[in-house]
Parts: sequence; C-alpha cells; structure tokens
Amino acid sequence: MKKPLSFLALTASVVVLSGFYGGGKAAVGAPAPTFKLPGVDGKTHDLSKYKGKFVVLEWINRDCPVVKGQYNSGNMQRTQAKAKEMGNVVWVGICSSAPGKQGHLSAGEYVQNMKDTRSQSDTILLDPDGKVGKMYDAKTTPHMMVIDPKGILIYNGAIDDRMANRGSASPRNHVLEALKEAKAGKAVSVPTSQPYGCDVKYAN
Amino acid sequence: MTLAIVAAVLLVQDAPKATAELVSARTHVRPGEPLTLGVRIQTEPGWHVYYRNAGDSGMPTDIKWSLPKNWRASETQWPAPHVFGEDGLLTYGYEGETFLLSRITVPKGTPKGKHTLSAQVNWLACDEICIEGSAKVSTQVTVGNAIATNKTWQPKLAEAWGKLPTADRSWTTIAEATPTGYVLNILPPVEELLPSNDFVFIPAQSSVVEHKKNHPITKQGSSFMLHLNKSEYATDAPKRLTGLLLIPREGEPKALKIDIPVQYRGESS
Repeated sequence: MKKPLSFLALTASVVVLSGFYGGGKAAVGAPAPTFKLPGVDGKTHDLSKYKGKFVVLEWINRDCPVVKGQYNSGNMQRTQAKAKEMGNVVWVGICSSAPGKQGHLSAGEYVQNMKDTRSQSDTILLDPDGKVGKMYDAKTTPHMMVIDPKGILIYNGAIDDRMANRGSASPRNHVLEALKEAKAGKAVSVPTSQPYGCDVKYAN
Repeated sequence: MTLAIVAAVLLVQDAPKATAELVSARTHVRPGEPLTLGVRIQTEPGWHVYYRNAGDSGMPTDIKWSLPKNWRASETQWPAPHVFGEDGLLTYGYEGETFLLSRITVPKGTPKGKHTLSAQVNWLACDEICIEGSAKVSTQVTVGNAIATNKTWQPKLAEAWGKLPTADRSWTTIAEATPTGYVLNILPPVEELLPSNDFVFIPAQSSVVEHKKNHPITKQGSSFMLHLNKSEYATDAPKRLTGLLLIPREGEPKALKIDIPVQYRGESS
C-alpha cells in the first residue's frame, strides 16, 4: 500500500515542478523545464539544484550508430572535457529509451558504457518513461541542450554543424560555442539547429 | 536453443540493410553529350534510408563524387520521398529500390577510352533501430564516337527521371510569412478534382518549417491555405520557400516542386 502512494507522490511532484518552472515544450530563451531523474551514479539529480551552473543535457542511446560515431571519433568526449574545463559546467547524459527499445539499459550497463568510452560526462540520467524527453521534445540521439546559470535554455539542437554543412573542413561545435558566448556575456549566435541522429526510442 | 537464436540474430544484424550501386544509362558516350547516372539504393523490407531533408531524425543520404578530370555531376535529383512516422517525429526517406539521379555532360576533349566514375555513398538505414552504411560505388563508360545505351539500366533510369517532382505552372502557389510561420496558398487548375484535402508539404531543408503530415488547412473559395509553423530550429527569415507539395491523388500523390519567394508584409517578425 505504501509503495503506490509514494510513486504517485513522486510523479505528482515531477508534474508540479515542470508546471511551475515553465513546463511543456522547452523553448530557447525560456526557463528550461525542471525535473528530477535517477542517475546511474546512484544519486537523484534535480535540475533546479543546478541553478548557478551551466548544464549540458546530452540525449544518449548507447547502441545508436550516430552516438557511437561521436564516441568512437572522440568528438563527444572532447566536447565534454572542453565544456567542463570552462568551469561551472555540469554535463549529464539522458536516456529516454522506453523498456524493450534500443538503448534501454540498466544503470550498470551505462556505467560500463561510460567506462568503455571514457565518457567525461558527470553521469547518465535514466528517463525510461520518456517524460523528460518529451518535456524537452528531444528527437534524436544525440540531441543537445544547454541551460545557463539562471535556468534559461540557451541552446537546443545538434552538437555541431556537420550534417548542416556536409564536407566542411572545420565543423562548428554549437555546444562549446554557446557556452563560450554565454560565459562572455554575449548572446548565443546559433541558439538552435536541427539535431541529427537516431530517433529517440519512446514507447509506441 | 539460445545459441541458435543468438546466431540467427547475429546473421540478421550482419546482413546489410541497404546496398548501393552506381548505374549508367549509357555504356558508350560522345564528348559534349549528356549522361544520366543513378545511385541505385535498395533496402531490406521494413528498412529505409533518408531524403535530402531527413526530417526530425535520421541523416540525409550523402553522395560524394570521384569523377575524371573536368567531369561534373549535377546536383542530385531526389525522387519524392515517403513520409514515415507521425507528427512530432516525422521523417522522409526511401524504402525498396530508389535511384538518386544525376546528369553529367561529358566534357569536350575527354580522351577516348574507358573512364571510371565513382562515388562514396553514406547513409543511415533505420527500422526500429538504425545502422550506418557506406559504399564506394563505381561504373565505367567508354568515351568515343559511338553512343550505346545500357539496356538494363536506361529504361529504369528514364522511368525514375520521368517520376521526379516537377514544377507545374497550372498550379498557383504563393507563400506568405505569418507571425508563427508561413501560409502556403494553393490554387489548383480549374479542372482538377481532388479526392481529399490531404496536402503535405515536405521542406527541402530542415530547420525551416515543422515536419508534419497533418498541416492545418483552410479553404478560401477555390484556394487551399496550408498553415506551416516555423521550425523550432529556424534562425533566419528565408527569402524563399523550397520543397515538395504532395497533392492528393487516388493512388500515389503527385509531387509538385515548390520554389517560391516568401512574401513578408513589412510587419515586425
């Protein structure tokens, strides 16, 4: 009897929080929807507690070839490391794959994946019912969001312009650029771009 | 029992979900004359590769040519894609056999003899999961005084070329910017009888309008007004609206090429 009640309470609190802080579709320039999700590090992560820091959200699916491509080339890890080197930046992965779908793995499996890829991410958050993914309208893996210390969403989209500018010798890394510009007090010059990758494996 | 299942799964996963080859309409060409080429892509049942605008997810199929000196391939001519998924996660692509077409004019002064034409083709093939694919494809043509068609491929390439989306002046289309996106005003030819109002606009590039198959549509006299929302990833005010308009038909929709200026009424964006 106790278990169902507390589950309901947790669900209700997630819904209430998201409604309070500009829930619904995440729009660049608006407050980023807040949420609480379990991390594979064993802790619960509450986005609202990260106010005062930049937060990068990286939608992930271990087995999506586009994600694998980013990790095999080292591009994702380099981006993670450079972002955190700037200071005051939190980087979390989010997996919104539904049970039975590709990428839906146990915490242990994602811990192993982080070790295998030498991920520089702080942790990966598990969102198996896709609620947070849908709050942010995450469409692909990878799909990147950058939130500033005031809790405002300042970037939503692809990690870089490799897909938009095929064959470019020096791709622009939108995540690092957004962080650099925001830290310098400037407006983000490319606040959004079409993300590319596998579709997020929500439930049917 | 488990080993057999695992082995079977591994076999299925190893089979390529999409294959590519390069085919030519002619085996023999003369300098100064046109040559039609097709990157022929075939997918396993249930799998698809993506259009020049993949839509909400996926990756566009990419062709990088390696051609003899001075040979230039035209921009890829993309057949009208199928629409996959639902509004919210909608993609555009191809399943089964597709020809991504290109035309080359054989440069005058090309030395006689056999020439190899190659391309590097990269794609993402998806059904429930996605698998990346890549192939170096090539074909040969003989340059000289003779012309000869490739009897296997010329009919298929001609058929595919004939089905490419085209502009059609008997349809009047006007694009107007609105605070939330655009209205595509469509006036069909007088004699046109439409089985439904299920027009679908497929943008040529991503990040312009939302990818939808159920656009809000209103009728004003004989005109249809398709309401297109600006993409959440749009960053500028485009001068033109480019893409395909799928016109409802009893069978396959007719794909109309749209490349029209956007009218801005001079109000603040």
